[in-house]
Amino acid sequence: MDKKLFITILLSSVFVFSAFKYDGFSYFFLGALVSAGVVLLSLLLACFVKKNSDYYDKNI
Amino acid sequence: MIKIFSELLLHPGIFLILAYLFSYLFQGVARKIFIIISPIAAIFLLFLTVDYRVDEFYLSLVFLVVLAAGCLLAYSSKMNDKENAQLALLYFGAAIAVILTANLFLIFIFFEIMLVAATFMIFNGNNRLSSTAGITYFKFHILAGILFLIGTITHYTEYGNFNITLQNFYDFSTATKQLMNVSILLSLLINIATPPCSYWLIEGYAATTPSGSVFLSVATTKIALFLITKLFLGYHCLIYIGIFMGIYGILYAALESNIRRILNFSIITQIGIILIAIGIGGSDGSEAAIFMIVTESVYIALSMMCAAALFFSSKSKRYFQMAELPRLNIILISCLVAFASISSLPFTPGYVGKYLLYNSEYVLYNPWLKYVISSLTAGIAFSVGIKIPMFVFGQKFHHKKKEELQHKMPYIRKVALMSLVSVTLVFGIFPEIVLGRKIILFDDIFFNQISLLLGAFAGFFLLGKFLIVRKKYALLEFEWIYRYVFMKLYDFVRRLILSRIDSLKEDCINIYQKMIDNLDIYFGNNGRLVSIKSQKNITLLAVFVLIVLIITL
Repeated sequence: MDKKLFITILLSSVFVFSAFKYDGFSYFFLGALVSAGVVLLSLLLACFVKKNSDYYDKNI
Repeated sequence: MIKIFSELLLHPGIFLILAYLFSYLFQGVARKIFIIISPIAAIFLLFLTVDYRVDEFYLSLVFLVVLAAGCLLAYSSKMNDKENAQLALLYFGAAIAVILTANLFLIFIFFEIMLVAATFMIFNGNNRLSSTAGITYFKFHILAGILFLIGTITHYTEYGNFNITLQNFYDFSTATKQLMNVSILLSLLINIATPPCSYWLIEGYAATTPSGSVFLSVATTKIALFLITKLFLGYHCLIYIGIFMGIYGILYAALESNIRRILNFSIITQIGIILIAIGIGGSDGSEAAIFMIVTESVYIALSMMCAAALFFSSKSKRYFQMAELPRLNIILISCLVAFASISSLPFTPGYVGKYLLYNSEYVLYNPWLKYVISSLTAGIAFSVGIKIPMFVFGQKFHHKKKEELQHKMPYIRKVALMSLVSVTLVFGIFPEIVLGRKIILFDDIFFNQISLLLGAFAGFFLLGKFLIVRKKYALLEFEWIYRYVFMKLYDFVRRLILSRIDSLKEDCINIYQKMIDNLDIYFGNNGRLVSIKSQKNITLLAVFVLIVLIITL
């Protein structure tokens, strides 16, 4: 069997098991939501970026 | 006297400081062997002198293991790291002395010794940023040192001694006591790089040599955290500071492309999570905080060592300039262990720390905090734990070809990496070594944690491409605000002075005239002080006072 497929099946079975037995789905979505939040906020933060890489060398 | 002297020599911290001084007596290979043997000898001294059940013992032991591994790394490189390995003896010696003492004034003195050693370590980086980063480090730590000294002196005036007594730090009844608590807490918060005073950590650790950053990342913040755990356990305000630090580190790490700077931001997030544990307080919070401080020292050192190894093999600091590394390389294994710990994957020490937090009484009564800690864990996994391995070892991002690389890794560097990997895994799989009790790791938290990390991984799979940076740029930090505001203030004051220069001149002349008049009243020909009849008596009195002062001091 392909290694990647095997790992995917293994991980998803763990996930499905935990989602049924415990509160896994909410944690899965929390993880995905946090990732989206981090991307959004960091892109906002990127507005305050100086394109010049020598910025600190020149200004400190 | 001889007993005190021998006890001092057997103290692992003092031993390392003396080892630093004596290392200058040797040259070449002899110095190399002396520096590598010193931390190992200090480990034996630690077992001889310190009770191995206390937290101080574990933290000192971890420091010594990291010091030994860092020295091996320093001597495996062809850079100017030999001096840093030598300075590290002084740095870690002072650090261990801080951990093992219960006297506020001695803590202050050893903090200052650490400051000197660390500043020179950053100066040894010999790159464009090292001088400015070293000065920034020095400025912030001098500020922290002054605040700590103020706290120490007020403690002495209030209680008449320098001994640390825990109830003193929970007493806010008088203004002096408030000043003492606030100044010491502020000093320690600067030492753990709380934003807006975090710039020294980000630049300082990235500007030194690769092995220098391994040394620096271990001791400074961890010792301050250890002291906060000792003195300010259960201050609930620390929970909110910790949450702020966590979010700050995650956001900046997500945008950064320099691997060492990403790790520095991850240190800030980890410190934030430890601060939450300290803020929770009680035996649960204290246990979780100490466990996280001890284990984080190891896996952060390991991740810094991985960054150093990547730098030595690729000769570049940013992930988009990394070369393709061979599969199943020792660097890959150690990177996976280090970043799995940062992401709090089960069977790593990072997970055990979070497990203890989730099970603490305060979190059980305040479920919102559980979700906050989970979110911080997912965030750090997304922006550091998954990002670096994917971007460094992923196929798409390589610029250099395989042939350009030198795959030969010195044997000594492999030993250094593997020693830290094994210590990390032991802490993760057998946490009872530090905790002193067994914990059940397979329960709902285990599965929830895996779900959370899978969610973060799915998020990275979908959104990670937005974080790919292929250009060098500078992220603006709080430091920029200081500089901007202070420059504006300086300009304003300068303009004000220039516009009022004439009136200021007149004011100055008036003040000068008044001073001369006053001096005449006291020291003139018929002044009050000169008119005292017997000047001889005054001289004798002054000499007597000086003698009394010398004797009493």
